[in-house]
Amino acid sequence: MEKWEIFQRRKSLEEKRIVLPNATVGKAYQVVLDLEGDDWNEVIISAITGLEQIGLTYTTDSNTLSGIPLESADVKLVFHLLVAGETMEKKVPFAVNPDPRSLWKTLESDKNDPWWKADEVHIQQPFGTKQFVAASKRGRAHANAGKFREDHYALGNTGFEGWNILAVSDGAGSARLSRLGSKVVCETVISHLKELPDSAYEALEGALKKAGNTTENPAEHQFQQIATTFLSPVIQQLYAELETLAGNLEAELSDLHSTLALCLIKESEQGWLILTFSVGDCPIALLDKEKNNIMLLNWLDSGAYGGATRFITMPEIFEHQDFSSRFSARIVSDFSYLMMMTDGIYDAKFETTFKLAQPAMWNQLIADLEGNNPESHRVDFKEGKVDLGAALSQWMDFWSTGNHDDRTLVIIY
Amino acid sequence: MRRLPVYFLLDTSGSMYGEPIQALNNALNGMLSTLRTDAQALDSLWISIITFDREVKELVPLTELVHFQLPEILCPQSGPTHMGQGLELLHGKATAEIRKATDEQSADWRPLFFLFTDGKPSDLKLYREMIPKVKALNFASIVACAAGHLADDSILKELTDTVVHLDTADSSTLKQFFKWVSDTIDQGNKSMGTTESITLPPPPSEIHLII
Repeated sequence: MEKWEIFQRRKSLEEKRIVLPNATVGKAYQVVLDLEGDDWNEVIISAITGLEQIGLTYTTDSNTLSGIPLESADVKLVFHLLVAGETMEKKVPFAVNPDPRSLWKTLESDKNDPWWKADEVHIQQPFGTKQFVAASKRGRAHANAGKFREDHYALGNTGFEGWNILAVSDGAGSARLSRLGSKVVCETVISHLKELPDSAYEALEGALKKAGNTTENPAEHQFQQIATTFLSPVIQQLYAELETLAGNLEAELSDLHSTLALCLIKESEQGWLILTFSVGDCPIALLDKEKNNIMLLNWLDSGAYGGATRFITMPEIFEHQDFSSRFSARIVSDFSYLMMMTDGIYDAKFETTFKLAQPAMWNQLIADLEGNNPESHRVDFKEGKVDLGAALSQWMDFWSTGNHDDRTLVIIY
Repeated sequence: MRRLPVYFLLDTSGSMYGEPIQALNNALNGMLSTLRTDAQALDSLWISIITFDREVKELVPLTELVHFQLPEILCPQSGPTHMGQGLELLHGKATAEIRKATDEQSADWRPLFFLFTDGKPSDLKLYREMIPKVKALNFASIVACAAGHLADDSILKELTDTVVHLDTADSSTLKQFFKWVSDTIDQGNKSMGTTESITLPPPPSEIHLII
């Protein structure tokens, strides 16, 4: 090659952009450098420096860069080139991403915070002829930043009248006091329902059974009216109290943004009486005895974008014409599972609301819970182990890329 | 997997030539380095970079952070600032790329949009035409950054309530700004009301929020 040719060639090599795909720590990396084309004629890469500490090697014969990166890096590699026998160096940027799993930290939440709550809670108890198990756990996203769990669940019963009340709430990640909001929402609604006189529950039961015996088909409308009449004063009262609470805290109501999924359930001779109400995106689902059909007892507020939903703290909920459709009532003879969950579970396990309606997805979830998962975590419903709540909580550590929200799951089985 | 799409629309018009464009390159690289060590970002962040000067160019199409590579951003020595055309391209790309909830796919987190300029649109009419269309995409936040004394805050205010002003487009100020951008991106994957804007972290002293 003539001197001027070499000069030209060096110049064009200097300007040439060599792009190396990013690597990731722990993942095998292999890239064959494409040295075809006129620019590379009579050019040899004699060595690449900067690879040793990353854990990669370069093989000149095959022009291959390979290995398993040991640590993350954001460096400029130096390519030593021989251009017709003359040496030159070229810097090439190279990034090795850390292993995403290694980056998650578990930082303690501040126990001195006035609204602190435990990062992880679980419970199990008999539930009439069935069993009850629930767990709620701070998500990795919160643990990573030492923030609080914003999900909440609560359970109550009316004593003599035999109604059980389940509440699940997901505090908005964007709201500063949502950990308090979700707690207050669950606890307040349960305490108001417990305060109702026995006569109110007797009337409710009577109305439900009457609607259940009606020849009118479908009786859904009638059921919905019963649920609305019974529950809406309690929901209105809850909203008013949240407003007062925000005032007392000198906060905005939106600082308490939280969803609410509420379920009242009683076992009776006619079957299971079930009332629901919800605002937000926590599904309440009932899988029938044969596990062939899934019944979603509420509809979800979900926007076009992820994480977008509505909260019980939004006044427009109450004014909207769909308000009464947030209530439901029904009588079912029996069921295999009743589940309530926050989006931390269903985003990871169902992805779309459409899939929530697929019985196969629910059977998959149950198999997953029973041990069909990479971590082999088992929630053994059949054996009724004493530490089922703890097992559920452990199961909730499952890894799902991009899904690191708080997780709450409430199950009657 | 749920993505957090983040769009950058960057001014590469003539006035950025020299030190400012160098500073912008450095600051963006610094931001990417920071984000690569962020567990949340590494899992969900997707970035798109569009530049505008006389020409409007999609420098890097929407790409996940894991695979993202930033080429050197270049700018001509002189020429107009086609910010309106920039918005137009951004609108088209974002409309096509952002995943809304359907039966088959899970939705993206609400996307973020950062505009950086040291001047004002030469194509003001188109710029104003595009504003309602861009707003209709319902970004979780649109942040417009005006750098230097030639940047026009009030025109940017028409696009978004969140306008920040940098006194200069030098290396350390831009670094501060893009550090703040990465803090803002951290706020992006959270549940919120369907139309509310995210709460922005408090900006550092070099960055003035324009009220």
